[in-house]
Amino acid sequence: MFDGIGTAVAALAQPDVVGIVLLASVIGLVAGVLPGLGNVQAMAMALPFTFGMDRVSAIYFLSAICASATFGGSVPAILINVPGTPASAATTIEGYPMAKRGEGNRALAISATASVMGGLVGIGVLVVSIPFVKWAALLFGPPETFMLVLLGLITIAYAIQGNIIRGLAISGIGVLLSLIGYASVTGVYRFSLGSKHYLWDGIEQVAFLTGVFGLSEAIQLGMKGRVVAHAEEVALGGFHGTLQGIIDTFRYPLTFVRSSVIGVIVGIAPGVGGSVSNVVAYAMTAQISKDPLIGKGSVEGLVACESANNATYGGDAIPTLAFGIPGSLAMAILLGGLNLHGVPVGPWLMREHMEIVWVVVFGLLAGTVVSCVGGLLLARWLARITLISTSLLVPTIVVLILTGAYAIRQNFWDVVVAILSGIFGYFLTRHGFSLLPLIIGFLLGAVAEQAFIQSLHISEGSLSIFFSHPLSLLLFLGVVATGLYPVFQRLVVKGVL
Amino acid sequence: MQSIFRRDFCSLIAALFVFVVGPSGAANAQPVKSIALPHTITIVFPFAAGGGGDVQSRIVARYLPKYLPGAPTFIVKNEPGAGGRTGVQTVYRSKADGSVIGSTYTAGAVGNQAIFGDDAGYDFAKFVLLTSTYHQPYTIAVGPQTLYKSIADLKKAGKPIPFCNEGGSLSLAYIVIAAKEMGFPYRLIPGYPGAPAATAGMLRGDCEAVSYGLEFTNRYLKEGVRPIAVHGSERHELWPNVPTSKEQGYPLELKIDMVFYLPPGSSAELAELLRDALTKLYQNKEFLDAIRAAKFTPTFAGTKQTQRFVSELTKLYSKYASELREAEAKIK
Amino acid sequence: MRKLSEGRIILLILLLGCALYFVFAGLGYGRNSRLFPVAVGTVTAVLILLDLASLWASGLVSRTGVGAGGSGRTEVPSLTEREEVGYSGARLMRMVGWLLGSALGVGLVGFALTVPVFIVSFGRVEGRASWVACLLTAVVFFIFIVGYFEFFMRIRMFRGVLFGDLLPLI
Repeated sequence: MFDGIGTAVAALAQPDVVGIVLLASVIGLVAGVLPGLGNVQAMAMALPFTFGMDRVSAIYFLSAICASATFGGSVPAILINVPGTPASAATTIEGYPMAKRGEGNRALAISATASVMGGLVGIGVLVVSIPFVKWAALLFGPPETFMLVLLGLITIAYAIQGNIIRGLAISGIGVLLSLIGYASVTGVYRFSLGSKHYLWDGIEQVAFLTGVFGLSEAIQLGMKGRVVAHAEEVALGGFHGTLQGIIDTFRYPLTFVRSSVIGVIVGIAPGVGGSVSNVVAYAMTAQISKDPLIGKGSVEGLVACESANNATYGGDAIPTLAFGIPGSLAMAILLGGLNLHGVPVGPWLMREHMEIVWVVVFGLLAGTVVSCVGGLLLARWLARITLISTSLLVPTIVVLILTGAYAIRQNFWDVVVAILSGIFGYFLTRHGFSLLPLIIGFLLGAVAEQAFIQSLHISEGSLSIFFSHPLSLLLFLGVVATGLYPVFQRLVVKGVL
Repeated sequence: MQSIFRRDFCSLIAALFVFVVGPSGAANAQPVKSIALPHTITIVFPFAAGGGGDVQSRIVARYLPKYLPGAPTFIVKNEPGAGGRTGVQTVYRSKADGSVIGSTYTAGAVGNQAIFGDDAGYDFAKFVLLTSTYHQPYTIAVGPQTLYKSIADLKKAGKPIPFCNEGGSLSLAYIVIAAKEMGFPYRLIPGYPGAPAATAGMLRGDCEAVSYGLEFTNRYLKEGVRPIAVHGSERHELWPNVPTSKEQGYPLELKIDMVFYLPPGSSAELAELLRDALTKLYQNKEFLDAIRAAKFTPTFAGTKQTQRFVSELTKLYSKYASELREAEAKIK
Repeated sequence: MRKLSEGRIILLILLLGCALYFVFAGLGYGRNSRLFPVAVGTVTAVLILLDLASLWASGLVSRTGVGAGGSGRTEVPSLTEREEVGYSGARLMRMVGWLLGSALGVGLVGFALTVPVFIVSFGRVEGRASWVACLLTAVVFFIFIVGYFEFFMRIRMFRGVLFGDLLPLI
């Protein structure tokens, strides 16, 4: 379990890696502050820039951005009632009223402390689960891998999209797009549309990811208007408020533990992330709390939101690192980064590259701590970032993404792919499609095909292999249950059951 | 006057010394390098990270810069896919400006061309070969759950022996050739991104056997992998108890080696520069110790010897061309 | 909402076409190579047809907010649907135009020229940002991009066909 920890710690002791983590935390913090951007967009834009780094530094960079954006999102949520990221949506309910009462610093301190503590819980669960997950990962052969991917796709399609048919349809499109190019299992060059060279390696992952997430968001921002957000500013209060906020967090241990556990569980479920855990933890606390200030600036309510959304990352990382199935969009980008740096993702990651697992653990931790400390100190100035005109923000995002897309292979057509992906991503979100099933399908489609074809080779063409392996059968039952759940729910609503 | 003459004579000798000895001396001490290497050089390895070739490529990437002018940064990029063809194609299509160096298993790259023809996506003869390393015999090993102890057992199995492999490359080629020569039935479970994944598949029970290089397979003995044959003329010191194919009645010698190569059209000066650097690298004690610490034996072959390997391999694959194409067609 | 429905139908038809391409193109490959794409393509096409059918059916009855095969709960409209009042097709076309224009710029004259020109022109035309802000942002990003990629990572950024670089083979 602890093999590789030395490599991860030794790297963190080097000044350049420390600098990288600090820079990443600042990037994530700023991206989190800006509504419309978040860790996903920041990681997508940063991904190509990691190309020149060694893999340990690159994974530190991406992990730190991933974790730091969440607190960044809480800053405008508390100070100007605009969540910087979806994971801070519920934070506005309690944080902004506190700030309006002149307790902005107290609210920020609660958010920061709960975020760090929640992050520690999530990461702690990740670390403790490693031996079990390492053992379980070995059980995953081709049939199990195929069923796991299928389960992940169905779960994500349902959880995110709400409409399972649309979710599966768009994940199917993602899977199909992943099949373009050489098939590793058959060695055949397919669906090239006449391309003899460019599509040999398939659609370039980084160009596609950055286009779909970053450029589609840039189009959205460009459509929006003048500034990212504009709201009445509030008084922060003094340093006494900061100290008070830190102490306040520890006055609600049960709330903190319950919310952190919710965060971890939500994180483990593929496809759902901080945006859900934030809301679920808050809703549960609001129901059972006896605090009369709930909904009007309750400390307990704020502790619930903030500990859940940071605990989520530890949970997200478990399926991502254990099975190569991203627990969230941010983890999908992290997987892209691992691929880019030649780290084999999937069940063998924990077996062969434990140092990478530890790098992710420490990167998430460092990002959380640095962003919380930095965010507390710089809150007022960070909130002002939301006043940046979109007419300057949009072209800078576009420029970063296009240069990053080009830099990976120095191929101009990757720039075109990024733009087309961005336009595609925009139209999908505009017309009610979620991007996560598309991306998960795109990242895992080729894996699923490989596992499927290998399974058929093993069984000499018989589909029974998917049902004769106990774990595969169990996962198949999970697929069926998830697929039938909407029908079951409808029958319950109609009173039939 | 005599002293002036002596002074002039000495000056003349000194001048002659500088103009004649100086340049040749400089040439011996430090070759004139007219090539400007890129700041970053990528070594493209066509299999997933973790295997023997990948590990050695990374160690080379760490130590080679100091033997090159400007000490460029080396990055190793894994480009698995299509049984090792994808990464080789990348190098084939790359600019010949020193920014990309390929490293791959010679037998695999030549084998893919023999199997897939034009579909391989490259003409190996057009690459500029540098040097090669990681020379060792190939083997057959079986999983802990099987009862096979020898090639004779494979023949008596009464069913095709399933082999996990990448679906191309020398792993497929050597399985096909060994099966043809030794007369045991086989079938392929393709699609693993590299030797570690295929061996893991065997340990998990996806298949019963794998065929890989001796030193790589040796690392998995503690996991339960059991070698039953070495395709060499003599027993290897690492496995004194494992009989050779020759001892079991099949005088088959199948070897693996890893070659460093440049894209087609690379200049002779660039090739010479890199060959020189690699040659010096493989004399560096610290580097050789690093290879040994990774549990590999550092071997080295210069360009001429490497080119001889390629010729031998090309002949070998020509002999079994139809069997190789048939095996590939079954996977498609 | 009518515009949204029409737009969604067009998108679904395009996605259907995409899925069917994979099905029919896939049939031309060997057994193992066609199995997965044909299966996934077929299932995807069927799902898209079901979604189209649900849109068509909801056009005949009053909107209940429950999609075909839905979960029984009201489908949450996307953010852009909620903000449809502010949506403008012309503005969208302009945004797309800017993106395609930036690609054209990179292709013709390379990154070094396109980056600052794009930032300044977008800032001035779309937002009427001040010249100082636009130029400052353009200079900062020009230095960052050229400095990071060209000098630090020694990655030669595309110079553009007008300056002698060739577009890579497709």
